[in-house]
Amino acid sequence: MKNKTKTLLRIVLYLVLTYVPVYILGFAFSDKNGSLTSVFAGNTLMLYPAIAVIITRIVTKEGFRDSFLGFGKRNSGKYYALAVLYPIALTYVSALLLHLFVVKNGSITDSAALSDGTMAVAMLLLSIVSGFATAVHGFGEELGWRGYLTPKLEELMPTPAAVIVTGIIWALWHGPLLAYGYDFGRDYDFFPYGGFIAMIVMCVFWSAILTWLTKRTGSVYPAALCHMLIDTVLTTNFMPFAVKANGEKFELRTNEFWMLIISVFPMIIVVGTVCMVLLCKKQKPASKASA
Amino acid sequence: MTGLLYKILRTNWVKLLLFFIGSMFYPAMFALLFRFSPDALDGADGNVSLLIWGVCAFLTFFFGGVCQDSLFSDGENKKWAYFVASTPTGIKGHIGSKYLFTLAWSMVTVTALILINYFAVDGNKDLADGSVIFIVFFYIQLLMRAAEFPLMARFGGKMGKNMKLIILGIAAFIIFAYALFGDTSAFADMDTFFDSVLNAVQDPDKLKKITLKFSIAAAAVIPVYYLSYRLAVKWYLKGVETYEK
Repeated sequence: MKNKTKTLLRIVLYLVLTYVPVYILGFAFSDKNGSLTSVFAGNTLMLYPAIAVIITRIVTKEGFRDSFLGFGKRNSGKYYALAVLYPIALTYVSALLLHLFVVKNGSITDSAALSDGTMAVAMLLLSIVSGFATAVHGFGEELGWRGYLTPKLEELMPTPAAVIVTGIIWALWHGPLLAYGYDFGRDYDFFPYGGFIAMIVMCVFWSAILTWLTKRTGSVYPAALCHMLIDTVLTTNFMPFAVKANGEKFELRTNEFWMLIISVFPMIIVVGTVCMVLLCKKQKPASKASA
Repeated sequence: MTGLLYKILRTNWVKLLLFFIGSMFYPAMFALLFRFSPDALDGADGNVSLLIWGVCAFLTFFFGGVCQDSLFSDGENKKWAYFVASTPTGIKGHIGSKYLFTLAWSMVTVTALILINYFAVDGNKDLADGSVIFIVFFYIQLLMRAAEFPLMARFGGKMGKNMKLIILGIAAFIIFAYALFGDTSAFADMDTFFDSVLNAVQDPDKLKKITLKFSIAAAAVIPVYYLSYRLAVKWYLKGVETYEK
């Protein structure tokens, strides 16, 4: 009981340190459109979870032994490969779904992304190399969410619940940006609550994927790389599929909010569910042994 | 390997800290000038500021490279080398920790430079975004280390660096020979050079080709860096034989 209280206090301290700077900067520098007026402040946001973990671990004298900072288990290469392949697959599967179900008329080959093969390859490679070079930003978030919060929550609840709670906390951490239209824009019903719900769903399933990567390798780096590549590869390469080669937007069956839900969410949900099942499976032998 | 990384940090933290502060001095000073005293750098916006960021990035990565080199050749003595080869982590861990530390240093440098750049841009929106230049330098630095580290592993730090200088000398000679007999009209003077660069950037077809070539080259650096690590591991014990102590 005493240990659980201690863990809870540590979680609260970490969350205060992570949320406060992001909420202050998020509201103080908001451009009221889902982004920040200060590019510098915007670029520091992803680093606060890591800073919060370092301060929390120093204050609570926990040390850094169980912080997933090592390079983990042997033969983790395939998980690093998956961390790179998942964001690429997500982008192209989403683009395919976009043209199958959302775009009213026009072919995927008419899109800005595929009309020029040279540029498409160049943009994909550029987004990968820039994501790799700036992976410190992904590390900033993953050290906090997957390297600290999820393992701490696992001391209080079963792994699947810990993954879900981490996802919800992670999504709400984007609150100041979501409130003004970050990621999903402003042109949808129930703004901004719909955006919050969508972000929670997205973060819960991504939380499962990134936790699975972290647990399989015993290291936070594949998750950091995957997170950063999702940010760079998806944002750079998906939107050109929604516009024609001449820059005109394709006519859609729905608004942009639902466009994202219908095209991007299915793969996030499917892969996230698979990872969640794998996480549960991994837990069974331990619970059997304890029984 | 985590322990070896900790050893690098623990035994070199003063050097690392001083090198990091030193390497960030120029970009930080320029950012402060751009931000708080824009009159001092009147006209230094757009392409000029991009050139300044390029020079800053060169200096930062150059100082960082010196530090990375000195860390790689750190602990060059036979006793330590055979001891670390006999541990479960082995040569792979020993060399791997140095490669990973170098990679992490370069990643942190890029992030710090981008943040410094954005700090300046916040004060003056006319300044250029130098992120692409920083990323280009990041990959050049990784490529340089990928070429140099196996040589340092095989022939020892001192000899390895000399061999790198010889290779650079040969490259310089080839460039010099090209300058004597090849087409160098683009380099007649700075104006002609910048005109040819701007023409290339403004022509969509040329820009596409440049972007594709750069992206392929940058993406190729990552596997090259890994192969360099494998080569350094293979050559390490041969290199140990050349150590004086």
